[in-house]
Amino acid sequence: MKNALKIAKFEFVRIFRDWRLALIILSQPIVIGLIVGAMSYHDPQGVKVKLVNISDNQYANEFITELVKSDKLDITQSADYTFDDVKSGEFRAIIVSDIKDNQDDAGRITVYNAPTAGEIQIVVGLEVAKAAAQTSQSIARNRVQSDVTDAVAELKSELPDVVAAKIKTIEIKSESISGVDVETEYATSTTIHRYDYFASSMMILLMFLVVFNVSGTSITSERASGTFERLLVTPYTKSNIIIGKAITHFCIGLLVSIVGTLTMELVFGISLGNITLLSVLTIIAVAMSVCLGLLISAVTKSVVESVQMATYLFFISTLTCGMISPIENGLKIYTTTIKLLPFGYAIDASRRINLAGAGWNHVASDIYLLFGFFVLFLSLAIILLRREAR
Amino acid sequence: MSALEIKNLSKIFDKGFVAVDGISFSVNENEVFGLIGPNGSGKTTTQRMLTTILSPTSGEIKFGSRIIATEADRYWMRYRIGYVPQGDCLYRDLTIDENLEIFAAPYKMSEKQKKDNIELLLDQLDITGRRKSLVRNLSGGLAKRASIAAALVHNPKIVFFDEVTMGLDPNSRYQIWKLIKELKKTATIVFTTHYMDEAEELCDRMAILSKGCILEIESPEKIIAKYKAKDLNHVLGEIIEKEL
Repeated sequence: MKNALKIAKFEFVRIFRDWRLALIILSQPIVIGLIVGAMSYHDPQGVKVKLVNISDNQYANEFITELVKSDKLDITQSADYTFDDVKSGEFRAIIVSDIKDNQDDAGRITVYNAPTAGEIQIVVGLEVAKAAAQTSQSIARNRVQSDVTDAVAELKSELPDVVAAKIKTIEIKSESISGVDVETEYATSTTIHRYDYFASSMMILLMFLVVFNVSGTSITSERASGTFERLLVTPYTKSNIIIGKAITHFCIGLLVSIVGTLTMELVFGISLGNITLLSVLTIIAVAMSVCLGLLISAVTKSVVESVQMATYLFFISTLTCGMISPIENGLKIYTTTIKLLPFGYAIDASRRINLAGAGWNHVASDIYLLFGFFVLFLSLAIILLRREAR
Repeated sequence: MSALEIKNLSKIFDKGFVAVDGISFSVNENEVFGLIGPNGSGKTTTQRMLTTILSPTSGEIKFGSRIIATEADRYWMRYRIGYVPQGDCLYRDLTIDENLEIFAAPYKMSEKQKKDNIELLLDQLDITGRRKSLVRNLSGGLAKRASIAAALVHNPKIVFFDEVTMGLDPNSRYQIWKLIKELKKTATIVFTTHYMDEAEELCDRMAILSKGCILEIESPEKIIAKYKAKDLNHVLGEIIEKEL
């Protein structure tokens, strides 16, 4: 252990003596944290949509009245039914309202989403659903009113005039037929914003980015400079070297996580869950990713190969963590394969702790699995580290 | 007594290339033994096997009375050898002091002994004044002297030098020659070089290698006499001509 600590000490000195390298490492969590915050701080608002109303009746107008109340949509009404505005990027969606004043057919509302709209599709769909729900309530009330009025008229026609005159018009009160309110809320908190979702993932992804690159090239760069070969002629063991480097890179990974989280918390007020649990998760995730990085460096032949592998792994981690696309969207082979990778467990657990207020019993299995991956990667890095030059 | 004894040592790389082909020789205690030969003759591969960087395909390496066969033997051997590679191969972002500290760390010596050894080496190699300089800021000669210090910090029994004076100015070469002659009093030295004047000056005996085989093992004077050549350069020239 003494030898490992000696390697750790000088690995740390080497990295942080070069102020430019230190600056690059430490600025990443700050700059990327700020960009993520600026990028996703608000829920979507002012989404530009085109509304084409092809009907002209009270219900169609009522739908439009309801829809324009939305503070999330920036609606431009138009009679133009072409999709050129979507192709030019001017509108994120075209809403075509064809609500009919017809007993047998209530008509339809079609939302044509721009394929580039991404998650904005959900916002547009929800706003349309809200307005449609209100309109449907109005349609239902009017139709019941109409039926009742007809029934009363028919009844009056069959009764003596004296009796019929005493029957007054029956009016359906608006409260009698209530509409359905369409709302979405988070299951565990009302203070979570879209930014929190990204920030919780980015806390871990940022650390992966830095650690994979630092650890992934650590041994190959020393092989290239000849110092590693020289180290191997001394009595340093493979575990001394791997553990020594792992200690330093672990400290760097932890530092990056802390700086990234603090930036996001101080500037944007990220939603944080149980800090102790989050710390345990972060510590194990950093240790796991350091050992994976060192494993890359132990088995690759050159710095270029290591950099490619580190980048490769970073993209795999980004694409399998569920941040960009929900895991449920994937093919079965995708959803099955990502269970064999550690990244999703780290990021999903981070999101559940921060966003859903998960406790130890909710994320224990993820943490145990990450610990298992850490032990696996550490063992493999030590076993597969070549003492011999190629 | 032999400090190092090699029997039928071979190295065949993955693609079937025979780099070293069953060579045998022994190196006596406190002897300067040279491995000489043209490029690709197998001298560096031989030295890499002797310094545990490469495993032999076959053959036997005996260090003193112990046969080096297992990883445990190699680990034992690493406590007893010093290696000065061709480049300085030091951590360029660390100072000379820090490099010596990291290379001295794994040896079983007291902290005081390590410190004393470092002070003595810095003094002997005349680099005390630059001990706090980063290696990246040193000249080639100074970096090489620091590299030698890193290899000697644990008082090794055998020191391997790999083309140690390559690219150095005459004065730096002369300083290193002086050091090797001094070091010979306490350690056995195995070195490779392309400079034949260096081999003549320093070697008690030398092995001339060609295509992985040993052609001659003798003192430089006897080899020159055998080939009736003017100097070792001519001997090697004759050998390369025969190869072609």
